[in-house]
Amino acid sequence: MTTGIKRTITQEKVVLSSYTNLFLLGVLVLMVFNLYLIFVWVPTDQNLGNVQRVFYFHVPIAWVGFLAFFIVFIASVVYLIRGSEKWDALAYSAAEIGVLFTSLMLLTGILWAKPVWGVWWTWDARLTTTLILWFIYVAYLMLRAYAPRGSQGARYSAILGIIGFIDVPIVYFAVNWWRTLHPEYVVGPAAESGSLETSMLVALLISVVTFTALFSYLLTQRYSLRWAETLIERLHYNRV
Amino acid sequence: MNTQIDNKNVSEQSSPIFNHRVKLLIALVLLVGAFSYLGLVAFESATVYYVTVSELNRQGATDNGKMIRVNGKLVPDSYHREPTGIQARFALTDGQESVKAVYNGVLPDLFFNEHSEVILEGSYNTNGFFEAQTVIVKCPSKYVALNKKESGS
Repeated sequence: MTTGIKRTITQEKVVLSSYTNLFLLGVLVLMVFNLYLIFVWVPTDQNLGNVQRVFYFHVPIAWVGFLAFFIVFIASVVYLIRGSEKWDALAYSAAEIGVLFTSLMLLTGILWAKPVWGVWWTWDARLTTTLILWFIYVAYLMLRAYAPRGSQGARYSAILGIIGFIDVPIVYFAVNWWRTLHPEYVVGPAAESGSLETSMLVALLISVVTFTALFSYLLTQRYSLRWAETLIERLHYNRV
Repeated sequence: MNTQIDNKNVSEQSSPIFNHRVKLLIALVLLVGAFSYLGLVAFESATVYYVTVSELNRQGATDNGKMIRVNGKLVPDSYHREPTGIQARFALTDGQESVKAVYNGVLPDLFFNEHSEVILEGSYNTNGFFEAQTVIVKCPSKYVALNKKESGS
């Protein structure tokens, strides 16, 4: 009887892990295909040349960063209402990945700015607001590290996670509200028609899908790890 | 005054969590305050990241040492560099007015592209020259495939 249950659990685990492995394999295949599109298939830009290919990394990475902080926002709100630690674990996991992708957004931006603008960095509205966004969520991670474990620290962080999200739309609309160095929108409802070639748009959209898939994989993995950490902590405190 | 201090001490002794909470709140307030301050200070200059050539001419010469950014397109054929020197002279226009500028240093590749907008960081002198310290190129907001140009023209 017990062995039967054990076997079912093991089988379930095997099935689960094979699903995540399949997911990972799918993400990897997509990433290789995406690299092929970016470096071989998509045409070179007439004015900027090869360096414009950074665009197909920079924009999807920025999108993933925004998405991650949106998840922090939603999960923090639900956590404050319901108080379930699972939502807190989700918020924390998303914040960690969001900071990673925002760092990558800043880095790819810096690498792209030097050859095109002629400077590594300048204090225009979008760069400044993005740096503030990065600081806010680094502060969130620091708060998680230093605040007391348990519901109190989680509540403080949730509030910071919610307030910090205000900066995301500011970063997005910065090019519209102020004079900045960034070009106007090339995709989305506010974009001027014809500001992006069809082939370039296709490559960008596939890259967005790829990076979103990578993000979902990272988030599920980080979330289950964080949840396991929470359970272990709970066991530990119960024993003490 | 004294009673207040006594009260505080009592509360700290009776509940150490309160002490911890106050410290955390102070840290949180400091953090939010610091970021808001950083944001405000940065925004004072970032919201007016650059002025147009017409706006610059209306403002006139900048105060001694004050930095300003001006945005415009390179006037065709206005660029020339002394054969023996490193000083570049050119003019920028916003379509209506123009301003003469000087710059010592290496110019970005896209400076000479007809679609590029140029942003100069520096000071506007009383002698009518904009002395640029930094030259930034604002990239075109359209991406066009290379082969399209070949087949189109």
